[in-house]
Amino acid sequence: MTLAAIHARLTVRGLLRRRLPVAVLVLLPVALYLASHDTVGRSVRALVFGISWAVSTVALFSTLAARELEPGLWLAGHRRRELTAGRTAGLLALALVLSAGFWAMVALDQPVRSIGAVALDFAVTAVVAVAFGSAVGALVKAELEGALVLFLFAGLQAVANPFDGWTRALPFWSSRELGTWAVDGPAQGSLAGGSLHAVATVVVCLAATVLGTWGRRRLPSGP
Amino acid sequence: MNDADWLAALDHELALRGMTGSDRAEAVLEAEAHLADSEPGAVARELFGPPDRYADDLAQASGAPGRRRPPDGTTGAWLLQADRVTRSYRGRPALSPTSLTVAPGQVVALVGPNGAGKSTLLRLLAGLEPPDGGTVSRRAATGWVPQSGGLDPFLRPVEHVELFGVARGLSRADARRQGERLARHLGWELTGAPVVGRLSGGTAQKLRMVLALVGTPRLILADEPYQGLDTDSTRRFWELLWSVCEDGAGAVVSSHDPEVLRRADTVLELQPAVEPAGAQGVGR
Repeated sequence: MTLAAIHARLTVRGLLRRRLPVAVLVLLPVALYLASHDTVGRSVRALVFGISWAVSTVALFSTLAARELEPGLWLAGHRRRELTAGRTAGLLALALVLSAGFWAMVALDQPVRSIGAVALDFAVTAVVAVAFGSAVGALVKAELEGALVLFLFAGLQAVANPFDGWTRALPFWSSRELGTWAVDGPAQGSLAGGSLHAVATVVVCLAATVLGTWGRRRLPSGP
Repeated sequence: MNDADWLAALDHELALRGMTGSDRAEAVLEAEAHLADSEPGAVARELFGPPDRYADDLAQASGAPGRRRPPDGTTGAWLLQADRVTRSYRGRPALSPTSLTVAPGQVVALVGPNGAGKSTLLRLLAGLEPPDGGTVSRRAATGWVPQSGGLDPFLRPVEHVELFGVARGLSRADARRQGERLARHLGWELTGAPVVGRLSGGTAQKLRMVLALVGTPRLILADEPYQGLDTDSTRRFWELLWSVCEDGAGAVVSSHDPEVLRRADTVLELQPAVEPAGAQGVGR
């Protein structure tokens, strides 16, 4: 088993032992889904919003918590990319499993136009949320700052008019676009536009994560 | 602890007290023979007591030195060299120009008042921060004992040992075995220990020591390693440190505790950076 794989496994194990946060991680999207259960489109968008918020928060806290352990691991011989890759892989695995569970719930509960498209929307949202939460975690100094940054983006995402051009600057614009495509069809939402936005967001977040992590301190140059 | 474990522990404790191979083997064989001659059902721990105490008695009776030999400083070999390193934080000097060399087998103590820059110097020596001036060169893999933190509260100690041991080239099984052995030397059982968040402060500190030593790095940097440790655990820590230094490792240990002055080979006394005197090394 590679170092990154061990780190991924222990990232998942450590997260699953935090019972209350894991419960909230599941309950937050479900609560938003149930609160807007009257129409298919609203409920799916609310669920996606919940997934994005919950998963990015978990990624944020996981990234900040890793700062305690990682200096010792660097000195022991772990490489920065192994640590980042392992943690990200663990978070992605958890987020995708969670999204699959929410997808199954929607598939059983709602007459969605294309349940496959909903699966794509949920998976993309999970990936973008891990990337965004990790980037915020790498850039801020402390948990409170990171949580406030996430609140800011989540709040803007919730209240902004999605047809305003500036909302494309929000990290989860792709989730809403793909959700609209999945529920209302290609006339309302664009698969290509949503996918491109998601890829661009992940690339930007990855760059921010690398710069934030590597720039925070110069790492050991010894053997 | 069964008899085999007790005898193995006795052997190790005698080694820590400087008993040489043949004397040590003889002492262990003698204890084994006493055990065989005793009443059926007798166990070593009840007959002889804890292995460290029994080793104390045997070492005293045999005239063993009771601590390791000082390192041979004549070879010129070194594991770590720092040359006039300095560090400031937001324009405030945290460390005056300080030089230091650590040779194989050498234990260096960093002492000085609060704010003298002991932790700063250790972080510079480890490479966790860059110095503002001067250079640090290392020729050995580094084990790091931080003053606090350094652990994931939701992982078990044995999982930490796996992470650190594998990074230093051990298999997961070997990392666990070595971690268990090191923990036992510090008077603690690693296997079955709960997640780090439920450990006492002293036990968490023992874990930091185990993580610094698993995989046998040749340079140990320890920042106030006694935090939360009782007297017996402190003694065990030093015995373990001497043991790895006997095998060619070098160590730098910072502490407020005057006890460190008695146990180290070299003492480097730091003064707060605002004072012009800076650092002065006091070799012994």
